[in-house]
Amino acid sequence: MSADLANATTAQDSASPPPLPSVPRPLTSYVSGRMIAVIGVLVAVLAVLTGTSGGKLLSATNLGGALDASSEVGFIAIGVTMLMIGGEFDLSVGQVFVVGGLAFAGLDKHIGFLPAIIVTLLLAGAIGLINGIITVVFGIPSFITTLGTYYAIAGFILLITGASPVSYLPPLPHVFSVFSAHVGGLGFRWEVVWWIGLAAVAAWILHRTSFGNHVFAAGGSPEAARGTGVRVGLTKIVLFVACSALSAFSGIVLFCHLGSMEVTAGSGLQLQAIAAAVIGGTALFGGVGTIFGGVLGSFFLGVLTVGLVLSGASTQYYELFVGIVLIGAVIAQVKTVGASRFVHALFRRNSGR
Amino acid sequence: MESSATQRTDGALTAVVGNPPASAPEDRRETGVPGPSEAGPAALELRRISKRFGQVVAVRDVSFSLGHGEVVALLGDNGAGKSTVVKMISGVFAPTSGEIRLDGQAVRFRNSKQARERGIATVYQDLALVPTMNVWRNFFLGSELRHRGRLDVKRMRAETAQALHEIGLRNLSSVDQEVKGLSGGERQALSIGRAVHFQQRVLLLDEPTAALSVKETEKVFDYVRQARQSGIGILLIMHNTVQALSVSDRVVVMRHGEVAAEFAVGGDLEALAKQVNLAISGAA
Repeated sequence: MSADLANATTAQDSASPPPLPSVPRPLTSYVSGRMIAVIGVLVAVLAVLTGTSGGKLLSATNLGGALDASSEVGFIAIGVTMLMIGGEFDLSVGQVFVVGGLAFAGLDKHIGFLPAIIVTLLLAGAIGLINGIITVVFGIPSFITTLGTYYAIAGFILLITGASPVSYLPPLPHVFSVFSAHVGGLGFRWEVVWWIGLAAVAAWILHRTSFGNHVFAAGGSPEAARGTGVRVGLTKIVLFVACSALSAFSGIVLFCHLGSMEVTAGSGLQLQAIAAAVIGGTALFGGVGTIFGGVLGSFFLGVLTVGLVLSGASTQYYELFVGIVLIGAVIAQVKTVGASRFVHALFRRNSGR
Repeated sequence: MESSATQRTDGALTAVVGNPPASAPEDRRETGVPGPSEAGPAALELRRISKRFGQVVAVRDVSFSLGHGEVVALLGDNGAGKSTVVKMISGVFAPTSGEIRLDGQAVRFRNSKQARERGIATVYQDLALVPTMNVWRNFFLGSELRHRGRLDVKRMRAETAQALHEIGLRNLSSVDQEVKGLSGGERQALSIGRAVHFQQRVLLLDEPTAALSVKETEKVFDYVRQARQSGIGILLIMHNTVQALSVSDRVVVMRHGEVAAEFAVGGDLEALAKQVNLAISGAA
């Protein structure tokens, strides 16, 4: 019977060419079940906070404020999301963020705005390179590597600064407004535009280039990736460098916004970035995730901050809610991934057996 | 089950029985797939290769060949040396002595990457695919098609669909499906189709039917038969004699690190299976 089947299909081959190139695409290939859950959770939280704030959250000013608040962790979440998709963590980002702000502040007076940004990003990239090389070459889990560099950098910052914040006296240089000025009458600042722009670039790289394909493979199954010739180690090192650079960039942006940087400003930021990535649908152990999800996760953190204030709740509730939503979001994702498999099964054509 | 295997083999394989390397090329489709020189040197030839680990001789003087468009099953008990042979062919480690030839040319691989670049595709059971990535991304992983610096998604999706169709996988819902959701047989189709599409010389399949149902096993063998038509040489590493006989042109039996026997597949397969099993157990 099986031989008959083989013969029959072979005959079919020579008779008619395969039906190409119109390959039907199920809806779930555009929007994953996971992303539906992410959006669902975000909308639910937005709805609740809109209710508790008496609708104030939905004003342009307040949503703009939420976006501003999102961008600080948002830049970092772009890098952390990519790194997590590639199967690695970076806990040092909080300190690299501080290094970014401090280095930029120190350099800007002497070498000017743009050179200061470039040198700061190179410095941060070097930190990322160290994280990557230690992790890849010595085969140490990145959780450990970057926990180590987190503490080392934190100590280094304290030694250099003597624990005192670095500030510029107002008025801040006009050029800082490329990040801190408000965009038209829209209620948010240019930093949000930079954030979304960089996220778009990152998403394009991740989903539309070979490198991006290799990132997903490195995180999904390093053995299989190596088996097809993907340079897994190099891919990860590049991700560490990008992640550090984005974190430092966030520090630069914050400094341009506030004109000062506390040496402790970065503590906890690494966990917020991971939370943003995970709320946005990034898998903890690699291979799955989207930049869009990381952006939504960051936005959620911003909305929560602003929404709680508007609702008259103490900001002490913030972490409690982050925790609850983090767990709820992951449960929702797991459930909808199962549901989307079911949809795929329905799409499966009858095999004619 | 044995009788069904016999039936199937009689129907599909009698043409190549007896003199497989010479007759196999004629079976090949005239698609202009470059590669096999007609009746030329074997796709893969092992000449007295041995592997020593310290004082232990894992493989001793193993010789056999694999023609273009030929399917050879490597059989033997656990510890017979099959996987050591496979690892030498796929470049994981080099033979202590002896020679590996591809298309008549002696080669020496320093690592599996070099073997891959010379056209040897190795599919280990679960490690060949990235479960979290979709079908077409897996298919082109490491060999992505690009158009002006960005992925040529449209072409990769279409070519994947076409290659899977050609190998005989017809009921996949979408090439955008995650590999995680595929059956074991569908995964094998993807790996086999990939090796054919990228015109590899030799495809090593390590226990391709382990953990598959009978029905799925038959399907995988259909993919193997389909792949063979492209001229690729296929080496199956297997445990199950009856299954191996139903799909291969020849079987090579290993025992204690040596080639114990070699059989051309044909005639009375039940009798042949008994002979092969005797060779495997060493009672022959």
